[in-house]
Amino acid sequence: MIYLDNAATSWPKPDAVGAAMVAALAEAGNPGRSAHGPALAAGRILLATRRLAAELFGASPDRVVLTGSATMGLNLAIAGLLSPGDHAVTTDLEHNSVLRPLYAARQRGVALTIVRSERGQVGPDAVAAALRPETRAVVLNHASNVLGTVQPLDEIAAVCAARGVPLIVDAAQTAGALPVDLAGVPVAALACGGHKALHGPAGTGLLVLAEGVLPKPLLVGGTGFDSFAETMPADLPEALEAGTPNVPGFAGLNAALELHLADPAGPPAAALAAAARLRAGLAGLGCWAAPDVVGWGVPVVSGSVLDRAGRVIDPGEVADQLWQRAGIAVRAGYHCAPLVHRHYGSEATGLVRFSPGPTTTDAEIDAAIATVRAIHEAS
Amino acid sequence: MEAGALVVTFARTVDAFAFEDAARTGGVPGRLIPLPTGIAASCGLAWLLPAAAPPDALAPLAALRREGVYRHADRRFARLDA
Repeated sequence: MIYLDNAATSWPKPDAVGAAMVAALAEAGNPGRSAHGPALAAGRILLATRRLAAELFGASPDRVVLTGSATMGLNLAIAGLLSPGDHAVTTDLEHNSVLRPLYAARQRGVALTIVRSERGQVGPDAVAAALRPETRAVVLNHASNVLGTVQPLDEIAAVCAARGVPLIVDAAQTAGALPVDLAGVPVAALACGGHKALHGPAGTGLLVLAEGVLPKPLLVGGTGFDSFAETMPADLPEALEAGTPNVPGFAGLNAALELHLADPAGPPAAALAAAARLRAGLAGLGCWAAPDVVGWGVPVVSGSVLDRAGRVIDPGEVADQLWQRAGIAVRAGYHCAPLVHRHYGSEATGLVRFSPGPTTTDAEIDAAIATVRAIHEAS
Repeated sequence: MEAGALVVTFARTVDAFAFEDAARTGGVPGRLIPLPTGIAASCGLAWLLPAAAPPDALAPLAALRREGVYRHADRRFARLDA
């Protein structure tokens, strides 16, 4: 198999990730509920994971909420910070993990402005123009999961900070792929999963909150302490962590974070180099049509394969041909980002998305390019 | 629990585990225990410092977040830092 679907979830995972998960299954209990060995072992795993996540993002471990996914973190931040009568700003580059919580908020009386991107980016001026006195959140991704474009986060954060508006960042595609230092960027909330460029297991995620930012809980329930209280604890991180956490998953994420922090630049650079090789190779085929974007910066390459008559071949058909002909795994369709496709002309068909990883070889990239050519020639 | 033992309580579970980590690193004796029912605290875990520990055993951990420190005697807990 040639796995080029790392933007969906990374593969292969490092051996240490699986080993840590297996060890946790054997050794870890329910954290914070008891003081016996397995329970304490679980609590230590969570603390270690929080600390590594805090190191990754330049945050305090106390402000790291362990979640099940980027989607869960985004729901926590969006639903927990917005109230009826508020106004929120987002962009047409967003994944449904941002859009659907915002649409749900709109149904509760939150006004919503969707800023139109230009060539895959949203500028700080466009965000500033959308702000109102009652704006209580700007929500956007750090990088598009379809176009691979990276937003000017520092500049947008500065605009939001100057107007006192919390910025919520979807870092699903950039956590582990690009440096994100919250110590220097005024971001109210950043959410990511653990299973993409961080190479941890699915079912793990992180929500990092700035000092003073405390969303209302989305889930309420057991925390292992203060059992007679009718409400969740007031302090982070437990305020947002009801229920038994995914300890084996976080053991795996902990191992993944250790590996990432030991070499934060090497694997992301390798993945981006593979994507750049693929991007150039496909562009040279003459049968590849890709959105015209600027600011491309994560290993995501999306476009359409054209047949000999210049018509778009159904991306689902292309993905199936890639798999059947050469065992190449990609993702076709809309990538849960409908407004991107509406804006950039692929609403009718979607696109084919290739997303290499750090272990992708030049030979694998060349095989993918050759297979696309073969699909075109056979059309 | 032995008379004279100290019990450190916490507001949050994360504080309890951070305390344990620092205690291990700093060679502070003791261990995490379930919060004794005679103490009201937010977190269900507490740090038990043996009675035999030096009087200043907790000094290296003074900067860490904790909710209270209690001394156990006669089946009761007297708060020391109130």
